Amino acid sequence: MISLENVYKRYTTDYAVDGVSFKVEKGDILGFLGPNGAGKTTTMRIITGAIAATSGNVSIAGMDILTHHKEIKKLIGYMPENNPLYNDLKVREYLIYRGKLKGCHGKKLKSRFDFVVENCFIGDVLDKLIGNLSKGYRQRVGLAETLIHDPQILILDEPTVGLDPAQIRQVRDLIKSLGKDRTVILSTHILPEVEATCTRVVIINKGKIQAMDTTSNLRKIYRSANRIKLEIKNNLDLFESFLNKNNWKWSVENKISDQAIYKIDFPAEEDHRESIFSKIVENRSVILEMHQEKTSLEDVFIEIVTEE
Amino acid sequence: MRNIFLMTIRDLKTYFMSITGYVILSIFLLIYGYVFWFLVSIYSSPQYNLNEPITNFFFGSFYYWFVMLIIPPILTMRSIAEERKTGTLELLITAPVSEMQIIVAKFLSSFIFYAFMWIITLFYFFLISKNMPLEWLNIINGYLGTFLAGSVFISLGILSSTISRNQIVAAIVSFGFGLLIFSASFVSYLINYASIKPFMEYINIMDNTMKFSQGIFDTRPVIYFISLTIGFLFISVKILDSQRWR
Repeated sequence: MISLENVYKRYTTDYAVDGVSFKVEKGDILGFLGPNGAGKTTTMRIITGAIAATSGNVSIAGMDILTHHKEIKKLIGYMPENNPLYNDLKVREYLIYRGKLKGCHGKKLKSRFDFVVENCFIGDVLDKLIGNLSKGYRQRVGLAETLIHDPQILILDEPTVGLDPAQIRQVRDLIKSLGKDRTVILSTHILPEVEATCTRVVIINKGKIQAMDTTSNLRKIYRSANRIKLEIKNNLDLFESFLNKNNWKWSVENKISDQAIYKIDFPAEEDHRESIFSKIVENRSVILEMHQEKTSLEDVFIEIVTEE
Repeated sequence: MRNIFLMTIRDLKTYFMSITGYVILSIFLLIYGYVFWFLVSIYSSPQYNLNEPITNFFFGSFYYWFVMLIIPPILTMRSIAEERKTGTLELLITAPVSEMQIIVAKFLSSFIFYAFMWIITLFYFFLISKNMPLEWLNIINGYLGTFLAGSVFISLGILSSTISRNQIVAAIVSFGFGLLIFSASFVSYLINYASIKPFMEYINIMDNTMKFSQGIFDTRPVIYFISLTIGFLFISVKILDSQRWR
């Protein structure tokens, strides 16, 4: 649906986007991750046609963005960074105006209007001026505007900024359900959001793609160690000598007389929970808590971005 | 066409629903009310025996040119610059409308507001029509000249607004360049070279506009003003388009 080939964007001397290539298919929800200034917004603006790439090919639904600009714009719903809106319009006027501008009229506009009002939860602010809305409402009006013409492709630049946790979940579910038969690209700083919503992830840094895969694959690739957090009571000496005998890396915290929390690291593919459990039983110690910590996307992200 | 109409209506709403629009309108009517009162006083006083039609002064006084040079920059300074500053320009550019449609809509909304302001002053003529012989064709011709010359300055204002990010800068640039192309008219009085003089006379904005108020309808100034307007708008479209490539 969307394909980028060797896309470069140069601002005076620096490359904001430095040879980016990727493909997104229908039904994909692609998460765009990267530190501030990594080139996320620039890449998204190139896809929407707001700016043109210095070199490289961008094609959307099989059409080149430079030659079929107008047709492509009809397919895309774009929510820019900082969510710009006309402050002097009422929400209803704004949505109707934008809907018509994007080629939605009559009955179709009416049904789309009802759909976005219901799904973006803006029913109670329809007759308020946009300039007087709170940040959360503004964000939802922006999202509603993006969806008003039923676009096949959604490009959302930080769609959940300024929402409260309950709203974030609602918007996340909305994006998920929309993404089933559409193509979605969203950028965000909130990593759990990507894990919850996206089917694929692109991590970009300094204009270059650093990693691109599904979230679970990324975790597998970048999981360097398997860590177990263990809280036990009684006979700690016996347990420590067992750890030393096995040559595992371990550390201890909060040691109070006969109770302590251990953190033990294994190579990624090994799982020693069973043997640890039986050893503790044998030592007549008591397990208060045992927990295997998973590598989160956050760990992967930090690892990739801070590599150099 | 539909898109241009939609965007024009939306921008017209900003003029009519914001305080700026009413401030411009009131100040204009205040100035022109004074001009009119002054003219009527002179014409009714036995001291001055004026034979010239009132349109010569109504569409040709110092105030006329003051308003003509000041109002278009203020009307147009917001158009693109403000949208760029707030980021809504990005919404327009990524909507299925062309740069040409955006610029034309911006021009039309400013022009319609400008024309609306002037059309209100038609009321003045109705007021005196019972007591003073009026040449209505002259008056209509005077308005035509006003609209044509105004469209030149409005399109120049749109161009300045396309270039700048700040609306104050846009207003200053368009006022400055407006004043310059207006003043360039006067060079024709200094030049005596037979080869350039006709050309300089042709591009003289002031004299060309005055012809309309004197009741002379000539297609040459019409074409000149319209082509200047289209020229400025065309450059604006190209600049707006080129900004995607920066």
